[in-house]
Amino acid sequence: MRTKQDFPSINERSVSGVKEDGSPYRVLVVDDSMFVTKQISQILTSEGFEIVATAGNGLEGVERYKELYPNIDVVTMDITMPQMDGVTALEKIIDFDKEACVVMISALGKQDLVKKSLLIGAKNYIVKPLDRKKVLERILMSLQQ
Amino acid sequence: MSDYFDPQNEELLQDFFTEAGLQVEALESNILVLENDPTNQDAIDEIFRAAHTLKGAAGTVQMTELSEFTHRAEDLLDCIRSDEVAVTAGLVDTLLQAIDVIKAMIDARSEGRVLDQDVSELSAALAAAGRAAESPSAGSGGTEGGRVADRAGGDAAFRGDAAAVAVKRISEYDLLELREAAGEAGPVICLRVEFNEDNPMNTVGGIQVYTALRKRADVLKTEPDFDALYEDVFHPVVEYYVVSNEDSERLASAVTISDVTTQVTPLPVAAGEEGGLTTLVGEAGAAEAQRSGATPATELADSPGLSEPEVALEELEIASEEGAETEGPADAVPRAEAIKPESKAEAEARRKVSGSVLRVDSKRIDDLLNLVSETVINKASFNQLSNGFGELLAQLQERREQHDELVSELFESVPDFLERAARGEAAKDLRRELIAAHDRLSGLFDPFQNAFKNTVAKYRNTAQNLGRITGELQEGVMRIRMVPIAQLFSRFPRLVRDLSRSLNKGMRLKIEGEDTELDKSVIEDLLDPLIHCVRNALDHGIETPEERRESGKPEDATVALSASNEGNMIVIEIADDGRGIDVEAVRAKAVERGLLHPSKAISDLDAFNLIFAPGFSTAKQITNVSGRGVGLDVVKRQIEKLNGELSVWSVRGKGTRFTIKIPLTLAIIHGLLVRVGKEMYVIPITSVIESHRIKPADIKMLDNYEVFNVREDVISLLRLNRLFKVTTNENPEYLFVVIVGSGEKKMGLIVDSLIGEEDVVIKPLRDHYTNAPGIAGANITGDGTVSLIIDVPQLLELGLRQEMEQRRKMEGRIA
Repeated sequence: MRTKQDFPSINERSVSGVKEDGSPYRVLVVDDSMFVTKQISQILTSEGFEIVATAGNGLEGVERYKELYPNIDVVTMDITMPQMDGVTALEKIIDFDKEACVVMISALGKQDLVKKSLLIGAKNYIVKPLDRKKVLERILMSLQQ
Repeated sequence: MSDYFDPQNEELLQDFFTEAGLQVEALESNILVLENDPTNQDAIDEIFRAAHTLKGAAGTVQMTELSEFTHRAEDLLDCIRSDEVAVTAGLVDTLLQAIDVIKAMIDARSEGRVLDQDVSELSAALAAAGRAAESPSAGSGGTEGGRVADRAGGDAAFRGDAAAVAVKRISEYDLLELREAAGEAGPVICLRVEFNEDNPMNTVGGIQVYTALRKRADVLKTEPDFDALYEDVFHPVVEYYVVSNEDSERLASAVTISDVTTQVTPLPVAAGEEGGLTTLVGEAGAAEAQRSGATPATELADSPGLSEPEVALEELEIASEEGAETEGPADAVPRAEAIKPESKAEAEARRKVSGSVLRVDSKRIDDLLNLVSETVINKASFNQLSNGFGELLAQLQERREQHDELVSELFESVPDFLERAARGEAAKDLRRELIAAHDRLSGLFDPFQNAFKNTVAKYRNTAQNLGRITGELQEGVMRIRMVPIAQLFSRFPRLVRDLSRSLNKGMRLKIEGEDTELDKSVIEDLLDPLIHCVRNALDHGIETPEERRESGKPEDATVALSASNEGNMIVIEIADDGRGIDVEAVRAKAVERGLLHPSKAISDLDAFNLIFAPGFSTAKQITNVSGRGVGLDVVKRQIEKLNGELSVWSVRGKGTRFTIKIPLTLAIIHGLLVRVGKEMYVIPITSVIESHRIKPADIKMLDNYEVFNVREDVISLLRLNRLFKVTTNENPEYLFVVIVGSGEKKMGLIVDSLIGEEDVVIKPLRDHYTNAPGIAGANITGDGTVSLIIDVPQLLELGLRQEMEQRRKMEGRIA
């Protein structure tokens, strides 16, 4: 990326994180791991998404969502979190906003919870360890559904 | 695995290490909670969550050995969580060992290498602990227990079978049922979806497609059925019977999910078609359906179809055993290879990452930012002032020119006036005329003076502001370095537990005041002394359970660690309810060691302090915990290095309390500036007791020592100029004596003059100077000169030694 700063490219790369009107998709990242939060943020912001808020647990995530609604396009939701887990938080968000676009973030071995989340209304899921391509692909897919 | 992760992404790595540390801490403390309260569900959840997060993060940063091992531990934890395994002391031991290994792995990684310790034994122990509970449930179909085995086995079996797809017919009755269910809602469509097995969560696909369909159509039935899809098993092919008004191609595209599905084929169902519906179903899918007790498919299958799933099932079980056995190594080998080519440069990069990280409350940073903005404003005011002064200077010059002009005019007019005076004009008239002509001269500088006064007042104001802001900034930055002592205390539950097991003494650890904040550098240096004190308390202080019973105390001893603020000092106490210090034993031992004259009477307090003497240990036996005789004196020295003090109080039979007092921070001290010759020195104010101005005649000689009487006390004197070889006038009219002391020792330092008190920032001396005796560091004063900071405890020793030497020399001369 450094080279890009030094030699601005003429062919500006088009980023996928913006809507048709050019405004960025607004993302709420809910994850108890600062590390994962940062990773997701890095991946998404590099594609033009805007991280409007982050939350460290489900409870906080739901509150954030309610605060920001409707100025939020997609939520990434970790499954295992202290205080309130991701599935419960998802339920609350869906209760609040049926159309909410929530993408679950799960580690391997949580298939049952992922299934439960999908049935509740999660748009998609991403498996940790996070892969840039997958993250972008799945989030965009959820947004376009 | 992840093409996103970049080993050079130090920021992420650093976060990983910080967080890994926290997770490990959480693991450890909660396991200890669990040991005392095996049913504590919160602790179990927390442990599981921490292990899980750690595993995920380790996978992301490609620390495969770490994620694999954590995964093993997680499996066992899962069994604990689902109450399949009871928490026993042995289990806790195994878990703690596992945490030690995890710690070692993280440490190794933070130094840029991979732990080469063989962990297979412990892995096996973890697996065995988990399996102990699984074996009974494994017989009941293997859906409950052996999650890993199941998953791996399932994968292996399907790999073979998925290719061989057989044709299966669905009975007329089934079709009828479907049509009934559909009613008039629309045509029944069958979507045949093939799933991608390489998707890491391949077992979720069935549900994912289901939810995607749910929005657009009524899902009547799935094959294998819904419950089977919900099971944690991969189905290579699933059929969804739906009724929908949307056309089948649109539905098919809706459920085409990259990575998850490989092919979606819509098969329209023609109503009333004889012979039923012809569809394709993977055998393995049927096998799965049977396995999970979902029977419709197999019930209706033809007889050859019935036998085949059975065969498949058998194969599957065999494969699952193999899978379980080979999964670890098979996985590990290619990954290990992948790690090997890691270049040296990369390893270097990782090493750098392990620098210390400070987590700070963001509010503190905000406060700082606020202050910084104030300094910026302050800077602007100074700029303005400097312009103001420039203008003033110009104004001054202008006035001076006018002044010079007027004065020369005046001088020129003097002869004229003299002449007129000689001509006999009245002096009174002349004076009036003179004043009228040069009236301007007297008030010439008034405007300038006013402007100057104004500017100086502004300057003073701004400088005062600067002082206030820097003061606050200093405090703010110090506060950033402050971390709660919990960081330190959190290590003790484990330590106490391990010790109590190895010593066979029951113990309870009580921790208080863990929110107390302390400078980070101090915290780091406090660990060793604290550990030493706690060990000492456990080993020497606390009696055996039998002794405790005899003396009527509860069998479990209590050790209390507490921290509190006291002014700008932190007080840390380590108290036990053990046997207390045996004053007589201490006395006897001190006499034996030659530390004390047999006839000297000492107070209890003195006796307590004897235990800090070098080479003193009252333990009759040397245990591996403590008692090698290099104990408390080292602790005392370490604490004193931190400018702190260590004291002990004890009541026989009731217990002992060690008290450590240390200053909040080491980076800035309040110091007394003194002058010796041309040099300036700083004496830490905490060690200054008083200061005196004396005449050289007040110095008396006692045994060749220079001494000085202060009230009832005799204080030996040390001339700093001699010690530091600074040339100065040794016999001025007055000398200044600063009496310093730490603990019991006192000494007077002779200096040329006292300058004043000031906050000084300690700058460490470069490595090759750190041996400068009597110097603790350097400080840069306001005018840019360097002053050295005096290390008082060292000086006390040094002065004593030097004087002894001098005395020996003198004696040599006499003899």
